Amino acid sequence: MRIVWHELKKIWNFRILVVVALLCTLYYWLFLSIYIDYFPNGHSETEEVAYSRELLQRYGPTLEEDEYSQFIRETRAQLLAEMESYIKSNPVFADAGIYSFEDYERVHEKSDPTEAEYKAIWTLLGEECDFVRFKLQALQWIESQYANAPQYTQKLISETTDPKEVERLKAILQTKEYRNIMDGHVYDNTVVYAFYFAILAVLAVLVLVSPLIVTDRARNVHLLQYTSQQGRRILQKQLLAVLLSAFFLTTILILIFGAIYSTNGTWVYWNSGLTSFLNWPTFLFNLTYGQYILIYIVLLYVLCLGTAALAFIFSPFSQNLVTLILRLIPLFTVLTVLCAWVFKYPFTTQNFLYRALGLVGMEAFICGLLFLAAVAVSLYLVRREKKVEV
Amino acid sequence: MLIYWLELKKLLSAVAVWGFIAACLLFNLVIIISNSGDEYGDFVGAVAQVTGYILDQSFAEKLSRLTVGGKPAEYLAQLKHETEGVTDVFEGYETRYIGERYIQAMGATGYWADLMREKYAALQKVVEEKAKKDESLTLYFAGATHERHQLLFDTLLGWLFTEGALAAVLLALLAVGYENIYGTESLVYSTKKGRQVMGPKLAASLTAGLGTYILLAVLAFIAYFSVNKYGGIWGSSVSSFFNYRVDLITGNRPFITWYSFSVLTYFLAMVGAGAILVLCFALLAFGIGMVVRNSYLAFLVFLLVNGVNIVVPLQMPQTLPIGLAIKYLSVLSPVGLWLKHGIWFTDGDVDVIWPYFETLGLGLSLVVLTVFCVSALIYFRKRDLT
Repeated sequence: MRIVWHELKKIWNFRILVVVALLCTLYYWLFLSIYIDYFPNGHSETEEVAYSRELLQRYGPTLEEDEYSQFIRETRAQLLAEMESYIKSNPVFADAGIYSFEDYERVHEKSDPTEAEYKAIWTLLGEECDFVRFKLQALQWIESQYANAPQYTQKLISETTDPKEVERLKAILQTKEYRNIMDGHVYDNTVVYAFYFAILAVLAVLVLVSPLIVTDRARNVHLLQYTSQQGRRILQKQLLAVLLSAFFLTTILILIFGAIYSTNGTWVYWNSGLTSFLNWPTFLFNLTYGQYILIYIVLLYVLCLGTAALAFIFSPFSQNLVTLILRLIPLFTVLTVLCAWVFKYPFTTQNFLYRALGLVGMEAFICGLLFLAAVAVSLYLVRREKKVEV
Repeated sequence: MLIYWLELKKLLSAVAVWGFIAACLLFNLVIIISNSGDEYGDFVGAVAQVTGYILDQSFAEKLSRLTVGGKPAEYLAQLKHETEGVTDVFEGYETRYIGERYIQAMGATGYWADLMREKYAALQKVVEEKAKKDESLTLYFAGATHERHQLLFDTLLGWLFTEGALAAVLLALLAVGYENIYGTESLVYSTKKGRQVMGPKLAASLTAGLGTYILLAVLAFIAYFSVNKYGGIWGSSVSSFFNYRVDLITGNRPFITWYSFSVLTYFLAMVGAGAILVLCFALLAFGIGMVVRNSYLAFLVFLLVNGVNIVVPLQMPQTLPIGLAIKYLSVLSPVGLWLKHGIWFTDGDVDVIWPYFETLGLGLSLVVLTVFCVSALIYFRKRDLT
C-alpha cells in the first residue's frame, strides 16, 4: 500500500493539479455557467418553472384532478385581478383604449397594432407589470398540458410501432404516471449540464492520470523499478493508483460541480417522477428525478474509471508525453461521442443508443462494458509485463 | 541544413504522428460521408457545365433547352423555379443598418462606434461594386448553396484547421522537448552547435506541421470532391444570390466578401489562410515549449492560453471601454480567428471592428508570435537548465 501511496503522490502533483483546476474553471465558464446563470432562461420559462415549484410545494409530487382544478381556478382569478389592477392604474393602457383584460386580449390578437397598442401589449408582458401576462401564458400552458396528457399519451401509442414503447406508454396511461409534477425545463437543464459535466470529468481524469507510466518509461525508471524487491508487480500498483485517482477526482468534481448546480434549486424535484404532463420525453422506466441523478452519478463513476483504465492501456505504448497526447486526443474524441450517446436524455426514447439499437438500458450496458473491457485489458497488460522482454 | 533534415526525420519517424493523421483522416471521412449525398447540388453542378454559372438570358435559354428524365426532371424543374426572376441582391442594398445593430448590441460608443461605422461605410462601396459587376447573379448551387457552402467552408475546413493546428502544435512540442524527453539535453547542448540547435528544430517543426496540414487537406479534399460534384460552378461568385449568412443580430443577410471571390479563389484563399493559422499555433506552441520544458505541461499551458483568450472576452463587461477593446482585439488572436473561420474575408460579426479582420489578425499574430518565439529562443540560450 505504501507504493500505491507514493504512486498517488506522483499522480497528484501540484503543477498538474493547478492546470486541472484552471482547465475546469475555463471549461465551467465556457460550457456550464450558462446553465446556472441563465436558468430559468427568459419568459415564459421562468413562470412555468415557478408554477411547477408552487404545485410541488402545495400538492406534493403528484397533481390530482381536484388539486389541478383548484390551482388553475385560484391562480387564474388572482392573475386576472392583478392584470385588471395594472390596466386601471397605468395610463399606457388607457392611451391605447384598453380599459379591461378583455380589451387587452382583443388588442393583443390584432395583427397590426398601433404604436400605443404595441406599447400597452408589452407593458403587461414586461417587468413593469411583474410579467403578469407571461404568468397567465404559463398557467394556460400548464392547464392544457394537464388536460391533454391522456390524449397525448394515447396519440403516442397510436404512432409508435415498437411494442416495448407501446407497453410502457400503456402503463403510463393506466397508472396515470403523467400526473407527476416534474418541470421539463428543469429536466432539460439538468440533463444538458450533466452531459457537459461528464465530458469535463472524462477530460480531467485523462489529464491527471495519463502521465504516470509514460514519465517513468521515458526516463527508463521502470527498469530500475523492476530490479527492486517489488519488481514488475509495480505496474499492478500503478494501475491501482490510477483507478483510485480517477475515483477521487470524479468524487471531488461531483462534489464541486454538484454543489454549484444545487444553487439552481432543482433539488426540490428530488422525489418527483420524471414522467410528467410538464415533461415531454417518454421515459422507459418509472424513475424519480433523484433516482435519475443517482444513476447518472453511478454511470459517471463507471465511465471515469473506464477512462482511467484506457489511459493506463495507452500509456505503455507511448514513448513520450507528446506521443501520449497524440493518442489521447482521438481517445478523448471517442469518449466525448460516447458521453453524447450515454448522457443525452438517457433512459428515454430520445436517447441515441435507444433510437439506434431499440434496446432498453444500453446506456448503462455501454458504460459497464467499457469499464470491464478496459480493466480486463489493463490486467492483461499487468500480467504480460511480468514476462515481457524489456 | 543537415541538422534540419535530421530533426525533420526525427519528427516524422514517430509512429504516433502517423497514427494521429490516420485518426484525423478517418474522422474527416465520417464527416464527409455523413453530410454528403445531396443529389440536387450535384445536379446543379452538372447543369452549370452546360449552361454556365452566370444567371442571364443565355442561362435561361440553355436551361429551357435541357431535357432529362426521372428524378433529375424534378431537379430541373426546381432549378428553373429557383433561378426564374432572380434579382441582384446588392442593387440598392444598404449596409449601414448592420453596423448600427452591432453598435447597439455591443453598447459601443465613441471611438469603437466610429470604427464600426467606418467599416460599414467601406463595405457599402464594396456592395456597390458587386452590384455593378452583378456578382450576385451567379448560380453557385442554387437552392443547395447554403448547405454546400457551410459543409465545405465551415464544417470541413474548420475541422481541418483544428486537426492541422493540433498536429503542428504537438510536432512543435515534440521538437522542442525531444532532448529533454530522452535525456540527451546535456550531450546536444555541449556540442559545437549547442543550444542553437533550436533554430533548425523550429524550422523542422514548422515544416512538419505545415506538411501534416497539407497532407490532411489533400486527402480530405480528394474524398470530399469525389463525393460532392462541383461541376461547372467553380467560377460562380461566393456572394451569389443563393448564398447567405445566418446572423442572430441582423437576421439572415447576403454573404458579402471584401474581395470579389469565385468559389475557386475563395477556396484557395481559405486553405492558404488556414496554413498561416496553423503556423501561428505552431509558433505559439514552440515558444511555450521553450519556457515550459515538460511537454505535457506545455501542451496544457497552450490549451489554457487559448482557453483564457476565449473566456476573458466573454466575461468582460461591455460597459467598460477596456471590455470592448479586449473583445475586439481577441478576435485577432489565432484562437479568435479559428472561431470565426466560417466568415473569413467577409465583414465579420458583431465583435469584428476592422475590415479584412482575418488578414489583419493573421498578419499581426504571425509577427507577434514570431517575436515571441525569437525572444524565447534568446532566453533559452542562456537559461539555467540544471
